[in-house]
Amino acid sequence: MATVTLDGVNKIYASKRGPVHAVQDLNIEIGDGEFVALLGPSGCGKTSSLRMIVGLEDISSGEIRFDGRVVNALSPEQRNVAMAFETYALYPTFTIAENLGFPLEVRGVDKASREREVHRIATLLQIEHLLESRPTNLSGGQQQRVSLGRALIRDPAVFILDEVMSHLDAHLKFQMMFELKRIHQSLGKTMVYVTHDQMEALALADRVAVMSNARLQQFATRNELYHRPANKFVADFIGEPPTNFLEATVTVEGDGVTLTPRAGELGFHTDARRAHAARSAGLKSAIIGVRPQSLSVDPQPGMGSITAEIVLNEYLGEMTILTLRSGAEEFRALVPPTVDAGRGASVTLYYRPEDVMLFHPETEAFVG
Amino acid sequence: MARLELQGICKGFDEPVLDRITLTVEEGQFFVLVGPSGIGKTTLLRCVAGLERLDAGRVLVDDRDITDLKPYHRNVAMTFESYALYPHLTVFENIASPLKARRTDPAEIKRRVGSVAELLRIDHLLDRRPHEVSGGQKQRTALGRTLVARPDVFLLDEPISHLDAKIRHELRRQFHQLEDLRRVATVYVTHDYAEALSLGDRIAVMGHGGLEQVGTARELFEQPATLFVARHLGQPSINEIACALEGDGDGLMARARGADLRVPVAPRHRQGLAAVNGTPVTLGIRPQHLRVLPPDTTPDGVPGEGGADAGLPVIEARVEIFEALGAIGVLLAEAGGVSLTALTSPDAHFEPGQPVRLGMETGAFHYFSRETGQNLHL
Amino acid sequence: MGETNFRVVRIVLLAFLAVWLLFTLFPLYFMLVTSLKPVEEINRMVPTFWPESFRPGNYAGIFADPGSLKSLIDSLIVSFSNTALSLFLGTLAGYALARWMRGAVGENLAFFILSNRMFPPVAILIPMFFLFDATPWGTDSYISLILLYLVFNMPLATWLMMVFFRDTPRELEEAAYLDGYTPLRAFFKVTLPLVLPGMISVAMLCWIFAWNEYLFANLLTGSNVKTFPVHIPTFTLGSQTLWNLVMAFSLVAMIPPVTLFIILRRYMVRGLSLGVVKG
Repeated sequence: MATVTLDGVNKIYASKRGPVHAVQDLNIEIGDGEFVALLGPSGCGKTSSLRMIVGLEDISSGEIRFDGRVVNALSPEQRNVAMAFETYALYPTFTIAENLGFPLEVRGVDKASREREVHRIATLLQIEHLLESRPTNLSGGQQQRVSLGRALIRDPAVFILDEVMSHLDAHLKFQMMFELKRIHQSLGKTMVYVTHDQMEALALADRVAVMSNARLQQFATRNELYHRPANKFVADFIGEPPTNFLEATVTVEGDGVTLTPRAGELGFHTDARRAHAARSAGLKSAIIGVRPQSLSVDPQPGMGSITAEIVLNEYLGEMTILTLRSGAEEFRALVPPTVDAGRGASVTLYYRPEDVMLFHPETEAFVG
Repeated sequence: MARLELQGICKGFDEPVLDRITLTVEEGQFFVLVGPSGIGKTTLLRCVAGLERLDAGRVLVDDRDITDLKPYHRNVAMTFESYALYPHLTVFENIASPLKARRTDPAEIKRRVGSVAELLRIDHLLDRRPHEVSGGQKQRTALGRTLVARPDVFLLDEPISHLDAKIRHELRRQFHQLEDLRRVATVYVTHDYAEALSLGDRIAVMGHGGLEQVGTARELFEQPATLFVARHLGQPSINEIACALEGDGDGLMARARGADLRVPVAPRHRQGLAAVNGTPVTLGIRPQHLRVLPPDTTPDGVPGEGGADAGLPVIEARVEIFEALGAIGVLLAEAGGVSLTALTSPDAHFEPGQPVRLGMETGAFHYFSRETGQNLHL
Repeated sequence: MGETNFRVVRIVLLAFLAVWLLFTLFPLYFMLVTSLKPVEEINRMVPTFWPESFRPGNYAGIFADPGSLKSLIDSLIVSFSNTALSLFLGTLAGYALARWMRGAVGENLAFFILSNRMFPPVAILIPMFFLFDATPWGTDSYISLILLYLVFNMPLATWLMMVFFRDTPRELEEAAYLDGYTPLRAFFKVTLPLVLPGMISVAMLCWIFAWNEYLFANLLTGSNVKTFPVHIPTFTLGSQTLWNLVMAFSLVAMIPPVTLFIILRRYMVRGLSLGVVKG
């Protein structure tokens, strides 16, 4: 059990073309028992950060503290961090029970208590019936559970999961996500989950740290990332299908703002709060961000509307993704699967004014 | 311009990998072949390409039998899952390869490679070698190599499965819009069902050895012929409940085995199911057909007139876990000893243990034979 | 492991390396100094490790014998011809084994071919002499020596080329077939460029064997054809071996392989893994 604090952490690698700043001024505070995800595209610095937390990598500057104690110079052993890997890294010649018990065996725990622990973990992960089989006879999901179990059995202070689901197929991933959530709830351990998949991060973590270009972009809850993204990058990275961005001219009229996308024939209206934000920022133009989920075919009172032509109707069973065109602008909307209008048809979509996000045209920061 | 026909293709001796596969891909059709990995999808593509010898059956292009033609005489283009780019050649030379094979005039090669590269937005990479470009760009180079030759048949083997979600969205749209692909018969192989639904004009779901069902996305999703199809399409996956049928006429019910859950059979299913009354069935309920009802609902149904939820039979359940996953919320609830998945809005909030009422759209449920897996009311 | 521990291990490793270098480089050094000594200095009971007087003229002296230059040329002819032939046959055979002879039959055949290389050469010395003696061109000819060396170089070339071909993905050739290339054109366009670094390594190995071979060359040839290893022992004066000339000539004979290696090293190192498939 531990809180983990990253205080002004930097990582600089030396390379042939000069120093590379892999992690820049990273400040994160992870509460005791919290489930936090480190999310970002490849090369964003999340893996370097993770390796520094574990103790596999030196810290160039800054401090990492566990429960207030500086751990910069401690080995992974001394930090009591456990880690589960993307590739399950199970020992093929050992049975599952031996695989699970291995970390304890290394520490010289006696056989009886080892067996007790193995059973406790196996019960938790629901793999008791597999204890005598070997890794090669197990499915991907089962192997992943064993590798989690092997990390858990040591009773670590901090538990780190590195892309543990990227090898699982979609159905299995769904199951594992619920599983992991359940494990976290029953253990109450501090967990750090590293992934490039925003869906996994949002589903699992209490809070998500979004990283890009070596920097922390935003560290917030799902709701906040979704409705108040810190900048255009976060808005783009969080959510699937990706957020629609349209460059627009801003016209302030009393309590509202009209946004006219440059290349299209649409007009978006926002609520008073955004109007105020746009006015006080003195914006002449802005980037509009509208999530495909925010565009609906079902009108409700107080909604604005836009009309566009369908370019593509992608039926996905539970839902349909419409790709729409207005002038030279293309954007997507997520609609119920009952919508079967095809290419060329015109469709009117409704949005709530508070779902229209505004970003600064140059800094790309969230305006309102 | 061509039409592809496969007639009774068999492959494999002891254990048939392909067992009498017959299908037709019309000219201009985008045909998607979907199924779990290792099921023989790639083998089928290789049979069409001529890289694999058939044990029986015929391959026809525009009614012309090409079964015995060598791959280099077939005018069939294929992308490989591994991309199979020539590592010692540049992106330009890779794309130009089919034209060089046909001894096309160099000026013409330059023009056509240029236009294909522009279309795929890799025109700035033409001088690089495959190991110097990203995964998505390699994939586009491989696609460019197949597009440039203007073949009769396109075979695409898992072309976007190794790429991350963002690039996949982008490429998926490109596939929809590539006129070259839309002109000829295209067979696209994938294990990703969402990709299959989104891309295919027609989709074939492949099970062990053979085709489970061929149809449009809507047909497959809304009228699955077998439990296999229903199970593999849809995310989160369909709830499967082992049931026995009891009662008759208006009182026909499906009772969950070893649990206290009864589901009334919708009128449209009664006729098909009456014939198998008494036999064990599997009830398939898609998560979106279980609606979480407002708390003021009575056990008899939704109060008031109208509304989407009106008149739905209701079951009482208890929340196990709730997850908001981006565009959807997934609720795991327990009802009468059966664990059910239901789809909700991601903005909803539920506490574990909280009681909920679920409205059942019984008309959209499916009943499958426990023995054969066949849909009992199609 | 601590920082100090790591340093100790490094020092020990470096010490081993230094000793090993001394063992390998000293003979070369001694060759060089001997080749520069006068005749009187070479047979001393207590050898000198640095020449008392320098005789660079030794190098000119070896070429006073016209046979010296001819022996180098003979060696070049034999080794280059044999390498070309070994490579050509070994590449074709290796490709066939890699692509069409997989499974137990192919494995056994490949091993059988390689096992020719494991024969003690002495065992076939006499039979080979009679065999080539019966040919129209006789034993003492370029062609006999070139063909004879195939006995040793062909199995090696076949085996190694087979391994290289197995490492090139089959899918690349299949992609080429679908592009419209016939198997022969696909082989030259796609497969061969990929095994080129391997081919160069094989060529080096074959060439060095043919260049240095002494036993068979000494038995079969001697007058019409005389390769340089056979020529080396002829530097004598009465019963005395002129070690200074022998060393000088040996050093001259080392120039071609060393030069070749320096030129081709670049291609050999580049390896097969150019990122053939996805990554």
